[in-house]
Amino acid sequence: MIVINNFFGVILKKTSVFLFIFTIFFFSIVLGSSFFNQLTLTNISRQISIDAPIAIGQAIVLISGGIDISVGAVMAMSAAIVIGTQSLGTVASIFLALLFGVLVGCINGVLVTKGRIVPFIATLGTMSAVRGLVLVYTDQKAIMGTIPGFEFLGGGSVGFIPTPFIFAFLILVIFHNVLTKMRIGRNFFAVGGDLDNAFLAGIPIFRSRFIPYVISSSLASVSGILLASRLNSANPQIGIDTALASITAAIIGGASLLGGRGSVFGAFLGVATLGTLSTGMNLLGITTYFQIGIKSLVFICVVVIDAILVRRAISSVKDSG
Amino acid sequence: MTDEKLLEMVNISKSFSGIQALDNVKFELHKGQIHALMGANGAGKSTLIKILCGVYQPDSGIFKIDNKVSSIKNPFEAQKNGIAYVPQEIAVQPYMTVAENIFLGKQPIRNFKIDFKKMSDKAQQVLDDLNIDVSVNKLGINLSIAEKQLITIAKVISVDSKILIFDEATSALTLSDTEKLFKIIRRLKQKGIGIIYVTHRMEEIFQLCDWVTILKDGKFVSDSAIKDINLQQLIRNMIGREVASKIPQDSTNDKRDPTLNKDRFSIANLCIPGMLQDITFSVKAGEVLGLAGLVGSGRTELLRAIFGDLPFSEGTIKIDGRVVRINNCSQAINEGIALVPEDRKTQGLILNFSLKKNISMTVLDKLKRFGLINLKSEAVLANSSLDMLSIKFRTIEQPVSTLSGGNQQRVVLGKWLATNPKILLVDEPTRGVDVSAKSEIHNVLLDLAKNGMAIIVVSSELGELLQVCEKILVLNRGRIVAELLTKNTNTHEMMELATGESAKRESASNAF
Amino acid sequence: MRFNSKKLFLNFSSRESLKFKVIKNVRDQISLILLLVMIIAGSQFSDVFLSSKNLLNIVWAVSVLGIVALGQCVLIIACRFDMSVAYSIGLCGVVMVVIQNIGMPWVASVLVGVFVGLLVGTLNGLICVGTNANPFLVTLGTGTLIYATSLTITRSKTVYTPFDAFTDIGRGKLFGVVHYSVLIFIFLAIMLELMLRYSKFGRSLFVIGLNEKVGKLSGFSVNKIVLGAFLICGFMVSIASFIVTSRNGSTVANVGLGMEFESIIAVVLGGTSLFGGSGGALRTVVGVLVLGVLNNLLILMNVQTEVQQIIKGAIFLLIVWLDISLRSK
Repeated sequence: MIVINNFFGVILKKTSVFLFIFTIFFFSIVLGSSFFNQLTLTNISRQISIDAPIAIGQAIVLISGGIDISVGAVMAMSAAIVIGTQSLGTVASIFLALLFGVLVGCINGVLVTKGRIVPFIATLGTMSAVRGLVLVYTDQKAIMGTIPGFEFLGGGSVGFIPTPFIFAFLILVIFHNVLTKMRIGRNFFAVGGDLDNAFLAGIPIFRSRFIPYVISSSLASVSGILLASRLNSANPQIGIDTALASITAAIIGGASLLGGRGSVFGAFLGVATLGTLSTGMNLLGITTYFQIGIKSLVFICVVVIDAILVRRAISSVKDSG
Repeated sequence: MTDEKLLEMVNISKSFSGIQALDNVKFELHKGQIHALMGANGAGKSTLIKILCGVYQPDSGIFKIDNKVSSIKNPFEAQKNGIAYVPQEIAVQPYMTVAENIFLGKQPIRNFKIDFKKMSDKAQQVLDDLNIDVSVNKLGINLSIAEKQLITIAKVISVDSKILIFDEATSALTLSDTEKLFKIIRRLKQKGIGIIYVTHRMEEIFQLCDWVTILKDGKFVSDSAIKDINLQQLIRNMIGREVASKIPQDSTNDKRDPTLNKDRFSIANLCIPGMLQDITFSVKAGEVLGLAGLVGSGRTELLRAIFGDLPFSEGTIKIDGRVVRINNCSQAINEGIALVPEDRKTQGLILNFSLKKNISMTVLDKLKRFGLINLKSEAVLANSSLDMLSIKFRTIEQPVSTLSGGNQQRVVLGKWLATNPKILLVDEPTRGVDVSAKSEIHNVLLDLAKNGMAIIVVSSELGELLQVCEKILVLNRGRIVAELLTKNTNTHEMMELATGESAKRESASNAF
Repeated sequence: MRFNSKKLFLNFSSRESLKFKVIKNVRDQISLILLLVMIIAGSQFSDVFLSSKNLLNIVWAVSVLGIVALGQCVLIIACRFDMSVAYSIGLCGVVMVVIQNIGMPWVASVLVGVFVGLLVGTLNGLICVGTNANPFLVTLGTGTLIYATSLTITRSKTVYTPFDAFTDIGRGKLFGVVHYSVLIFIFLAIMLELMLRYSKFGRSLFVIGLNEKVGKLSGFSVNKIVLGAFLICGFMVSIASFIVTSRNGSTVANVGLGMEFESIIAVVLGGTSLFGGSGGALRTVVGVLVLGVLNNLLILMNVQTEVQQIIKGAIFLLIVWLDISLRSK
C-alpha cells in the first residue's frame, strides 16, 4: 500500500523481485536441468521455508527501528530443546521450545526499551549468552531425535509442497496483513520511522518497540523447530550465520537499518534469492570457504547499498527548505 | 467569547535536576479564547505546554479541564482529554503517506482492518477544508518543510479537540499560509475551542490573539487582554526593564575607513540547481549585509555553499579580489571565512563538551606546542573569549549544555571569532535567544563590523536585519530579487519582495 | 566595546552540584572499583589467586586482547566499531607464518603482517567512510570475508613458524622479569592515551563521536579521521597478532574467535561509553584487567567454558545498562 514516489524507493521496492528472478535465471542458464528440476526446486523451497520465518521476524524488528542478532542462537537453542525434551512428548517439546523463544524475545525487548541499550549490543549480549546455553545443554555435541514422525514437520510433504512451506506461507500471510492493514503493524513502522512523532501522536511506544523482538525470537524458535524436525537432530553449529543471512534477506526485501520501512513479503523473496544462491553454488561445486566469502560479500553489498540509497533519498529532501 | 473556563492551571511547579523550570505558575484558558503564551527563552513556556500535553508531569499544582481536576500522564491521555498540540519541531513519518500521517494512530478501521480508502478520503477532506494543496499520497520524506508543517497542523485540527496548542506554528510558513492558518484559528475560536498560541513574533500576537500570559524565569508575571496592553508593556513584562524597541543605527558606515572600500568578498553567478540561481553580490570590509527571505528561499543554502558545506558547480567566489576554490569547511576556514550555523545545539556546539573545548575546537592547530595541545594556552583562549563576549559562566570546564540559549549562541560566536575571520557568516543570530541577549549579540556584530570584519547575516526577523545591516538582499525562491538600503526600506517592502506578491498587510505594530 | 561586565551564573544549587560530581566520579571510576571488588572477591575464593605468579600471569594472558581492545577503543570513541578484529588477528598471523615458511626472514614477515593489518583497516575504513553504511555490519561482513580468506590459505589447519627466534618476543621476558608482550601493551596504551588527550587527532575523535555534523562544520575532515581510527585499530590488531603467533609458535584461522565481542566488553568495562565521545586508553587497560581477573577467577573456580560465556554475556549487558542509566543522570 505504500506508494513510493522517490526514484530510489522504486528501485528498492522492486529489488527483491528482480534479484530473485535474476538468480533463478542465472543458475538455470548456467546449470540447465541439473538446477531446474523438481528435486532441486523442492529442496530449495524446503530450505527457504525454514529460513523464511526468521527473515520475516528480522524484517519486523528492522522496521521498528531495531535489529536482532540473537536469532541464530535462539534458533539453535530451540532446536536443541525440541529434540532434547522429546521424552515429554512432541507437543510439550514444541511448546517448551516456543516458550524459550518468547522468553528471549521478552528479554531483548526489555533490554532495548526499558534498559535503553542499543539493539545491536543488547542482542549481541543475549546471543552470546544463549550460545553458551546451547553449548551447555548439548554438551557441545549433536543430539539425536528419537520420535519417528516428528520429521514430518520439517521433512515431510503434502503432495509436492514441503510441509514447512505451508507454515512459512501462513506466517507470511499473517504478518503481511498485520503490518500493512492493522494499526498495530503500522505502529511498528511509526516508531521506526520517527519516534518522537509517534510519541506525540499517542502511539504506545513501549509496546510497539517491544513486540517486534518477541515476534522475531518466536519465529526464530519456529525455524529452529522446523530445522530440528527436518534433521531429526540438533547441534550447536546451527544458525551460526543465520543472523547475517536474515538481515541480508530483510534488506533485500526493502527494510532499512534506519527503520521505518520494509516488507514481509520482500523478506520472503530475499530468503528465496539467498536460498537459490546457496543451492546454485553447491551445485556448481563451489567450496564452503568460497561460499562463506560470497555470502559475506552479498551481505556487505546489501548493507552498503542500503546506506547509500536510503541516505541519499533522505538527504535529498533535507537540503531543501 | 464566553466566560467558561476551559482550562485552569494553578500553582504548577516543575524542576529538572535542580533547575526550577516552573514556579507556581498559573494559566487560564477560556472557551473561544485565543490566548498567547509569551516569555523569553527559558521562561518556561515550553515546559508548561509539555505538561499540558502529557510529556512531563508537574511536581505540584492542580489542573482542571472543564472545571474537573485532571492529570495527564502521557500524550495519549492528553488527546483523550481533548488537548491537541502542534509541536515546534517539525516532523512527519518519512515512509508513510500524508493521509496516514494525518491519521497516525487513529486510522479508520473496518472489519478489524484499516480502511485505506476512507482514510484517504477523509484526509483529502481535511486538506481541502484547510485549503492546503498537497497530494494525500505523497510520502513524508518527499515533503518540503513548509508542507510538513502544514500537514502537522492538519493532523491536529482533524481531531475534535477542546484545546489546541500552536507552538511556533508559522516558523516555516509563507505569508499566505500564515494568513490561511489565522483564518482557520479564528474559525475554531467561533466553535468555542480554546487556543494557546506560542510565538516570538509580536505582530502575530497583536493580529491574532485576545489574551496574553507572560512568563519570566519560570514564574507567572501577568495576564491581560491584548487590547489592554501595548508592545512596550509586553516587552517590559518579559524582560523586566525598558529596552529600546529599536537599536539606533550606528553611524558605522560613516566612520568606516575609506581605504577599506574594496570588496572583501564577492560572489558571482553561483548556481545550485533547485536551490540557488545566479547569485551575485559583494560585501566590503566593515559592512554588514543582510539576507532576507522566506524559509526555503535559499538563504541558508547560500551560506553553506560559501562555507564549503554545500558543493556547487557554477559560480566564482573571490576574496580580496583573488579567486578561491572552496570544497570543504576547512578550506573555507583557512580562507578566513567563519559560519555561525542555524542550529547551535546540533550544528554549532558539542553539548557535552566544556566551554573551553568548544571554543578551542576551531583553532587547535594554533594551540600546539611540540605537536601536542597546550592546555594552558587553551584555557587562556577560552577565558579571553568568554570575557570578551561577556558570557555568564561558572568555570570553563562546565559543559556548554548548562548555559542558556543566549550564552550558548555567544559561545558559538566565540569559537568562530577565535579563528580571526575576515568574513563572518551568521545564520539566525538570535533564534531562541531572549530579548536582552538579542541586543547584546547585535552589539557584538556591529562592533565586529566597526573593526573591519565583513559580515553576512541571515535572519527571519526582518526587524533584526533592519537594525544590524546597512544593506539587505532579498531572496525569493533561490534568486536575489532586490538589493535594498536599510535606511530606505521597511519590513513591508522586504516581505513583499520575499513573497513575490504585493500582499499589503495591516500590521498592528512593527516587529521590534 | 560596550559590553556588560561578567556575572557569575550558578546553574545548580550547591547540593545538586555535589550529587552531580559524585555520580560523574563514580561512573569514571567504576572500572577501578569493579577491579578492586573482584580482586578482593578473588582472594576469598582461592589461595592461589593473589600470588604474584598468578597476577602476573593474568596480565600476560590479557595483553593480546588488551592491544586489540585499545584499537577498538579508539574506534568506539569515534562512534564506530570493528567486528572484524576476531578474524583479522588470524589473517595477519597466518600471513606472517606462511611467508616465513616460504623463506622470508621473520622480521620482514612481521612487517608484512603489520601491512596486512593496515590493509584491513583501510578496507574497513574506506567502505564505512565512502558509503556511510553501518560500521557494525560492514565490519561483520569484511570479517567473514577475511575469515574465508584465512581458511582458504590455511585449509583450516594450524600453521607453524620455522623460526625459534620468532617466538622470543611472545614468550620472553625483559631482564627475565617482565614479559615483552606486557611491556608492548603498556607502551601502546600510554602512547594512545597521550594521543587521545593531547593531540588534535585525538580531540577530533571525541568531537566526531559526539556530533559529526559539528565536527564537519568546525573544519574537521571526518572521513580522514574515521579512516585514521580504522587504521589504528588495524595496526593494533596486527601487533596483537604478532604477539599471539609468536607466543604460540603457530597460528590458526580462528585464533581470535570471540575477540570482537571481548574487546568491546573490555572497552565498555573500562568506562568508555558506547555512544562515543568519552573514554580513554588507560581506562581500557583497566577494563581489560577486569576481564582478565574475571577469566582467571572463573578458571580457578573450575567453571566450564560455556558457562563462562553466559556469565560474560550477562556481565556485558549489566555494564552496558549501567553505562546508559548513569549517562542519563
